[in-house]
Amino acid sequence: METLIGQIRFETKLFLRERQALFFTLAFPVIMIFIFGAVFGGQTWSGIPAIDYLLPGIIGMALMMVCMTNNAVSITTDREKGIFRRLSLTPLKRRTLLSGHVAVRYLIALIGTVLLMIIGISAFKAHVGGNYFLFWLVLTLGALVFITLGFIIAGLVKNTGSAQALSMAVLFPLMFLGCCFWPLDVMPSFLRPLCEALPTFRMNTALRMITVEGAGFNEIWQDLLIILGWLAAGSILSIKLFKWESNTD
Amino acid sequence: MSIAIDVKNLTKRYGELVAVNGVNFSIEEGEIFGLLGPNGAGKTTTLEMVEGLRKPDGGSIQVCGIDVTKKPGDIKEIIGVQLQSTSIYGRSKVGEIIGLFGSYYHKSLSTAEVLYQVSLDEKKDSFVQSLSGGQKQRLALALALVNDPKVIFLDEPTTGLDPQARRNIWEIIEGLSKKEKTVIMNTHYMEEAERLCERVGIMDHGQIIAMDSPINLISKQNMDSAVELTCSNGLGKEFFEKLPRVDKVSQNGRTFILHTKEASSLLTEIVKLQEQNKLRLDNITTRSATLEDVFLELTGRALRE
Repeated sequence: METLIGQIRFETKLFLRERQALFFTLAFPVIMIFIFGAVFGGQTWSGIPAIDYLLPGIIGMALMMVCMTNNAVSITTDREKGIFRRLSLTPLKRRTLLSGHVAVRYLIALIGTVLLMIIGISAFKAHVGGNYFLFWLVLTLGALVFITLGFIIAGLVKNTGSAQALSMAVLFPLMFLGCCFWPLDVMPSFLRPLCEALPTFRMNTALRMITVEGAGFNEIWQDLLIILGWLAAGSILSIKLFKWESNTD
Repeated sequence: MSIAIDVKNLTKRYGELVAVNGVNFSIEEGEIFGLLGPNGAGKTTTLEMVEGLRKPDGGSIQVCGIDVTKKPGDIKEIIGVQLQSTSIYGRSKVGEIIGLFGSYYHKSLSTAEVLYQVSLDEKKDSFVQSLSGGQKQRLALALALVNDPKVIFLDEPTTGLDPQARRNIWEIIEGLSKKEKTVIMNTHYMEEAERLCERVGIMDHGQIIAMDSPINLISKQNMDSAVELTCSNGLGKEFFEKLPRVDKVSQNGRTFILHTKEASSLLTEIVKLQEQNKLRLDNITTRSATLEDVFLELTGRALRE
């Protein structure tokens, strides 16, 4: 446990020192909310204020940036640089190493979410009501799904460059088809079944239902089920594909 | 003295290639042992199998009485390793990373103690990415020393360093031998092996072809001094073998190395031959014989070809 805490403290420091990661995971979503808020702030989409659509969507994007992209890239970099190899010669357990790594991404995701909510509420009068526990639960399950996606990406690629490219190739469809920035109505009808199967869409929908309509468990259980399905499949694939060395003998 | 490392018949294959082919050696506690050989000789593979990082295809490895092939995890607390290309989190500070590594072990030295051992005291708060090559290498050494290990593995500790940085690393390694640490190191620098190692195993094509102290290796080959010359009038090896007081000749293209116990009289002889125009020289140097000569003698190739 002590080692895990040390590991989390150390990785948090490294994360905070990395300007590019900080920009994409924290600053970029904040910029997005200001731009979207300024452009669509007064509008109403499908009967609800646009900002109430946008806030959960931007939170979803921020979660993907840190839990998926940053996770995949940092795992690949550490593997490529031989850091995992060096650590495997110390008594540090692999599960402690990975737990620390995941915990840091999750913590940053939570901080980013709170930051975005504060800005959404204070600058653009977003409605954040409803059940905070459910909100946290959806957020956490979503973050975990993105973390497994990050591990899968890291497992599939050879180097940092391809980790970045593949993350982007996964992020954009999840963001746009997952309706992070607009309601499902604007999507062509043949794409809607696909959209509805995506974890981003389910997460956005559930978060909106909770914050805007004060939905309870009974209204969002289907969304939770699909997110859990992604999490189960993602976990299995993560474990199957995970590599500790870039070139194994 | 008890045995710190005992390796028997160690073998590793990569498909068709036999990278390590039946290697045997044992190292006493407190000894500095070196594996010397050209790149691709199998030194790194050997070292990494002994560390427990790679699984051998055959043979046995004991480190301080622990069977590494069966329980590679059990030696982690008592060994310290510097890998050939250790890269450490660039955005961590020197002191932080040493402290972090220390926290992985039951027993570890204080950060200050470790920094002092590798003379990085002043760099405690510097970022790893701002260090010079030599400082990074000293940090890699520091991380290998953080748990006050019994056995230390160094894989080419000075490769790519300038002479000053190399001497710094040598002094640190000499300090380890004063502390009675067992050190096993790989190198392709013969000066390094001669200066640091009490015993050297010369490795080529996955096998140890000779093993002894540097002095014995040199004297066994009958090579006290060497006269190295480059000849421009197309003479063959036989010409030099017939010269008086020459014990052995090795050839590397137009360059010949004449081994002798009486370098000065041989030199007089050579000068005479040149005056008589029997021999035309581009270049001539004399020196004591080195492990490089032993390697050339044993394999017919130079160490760094």
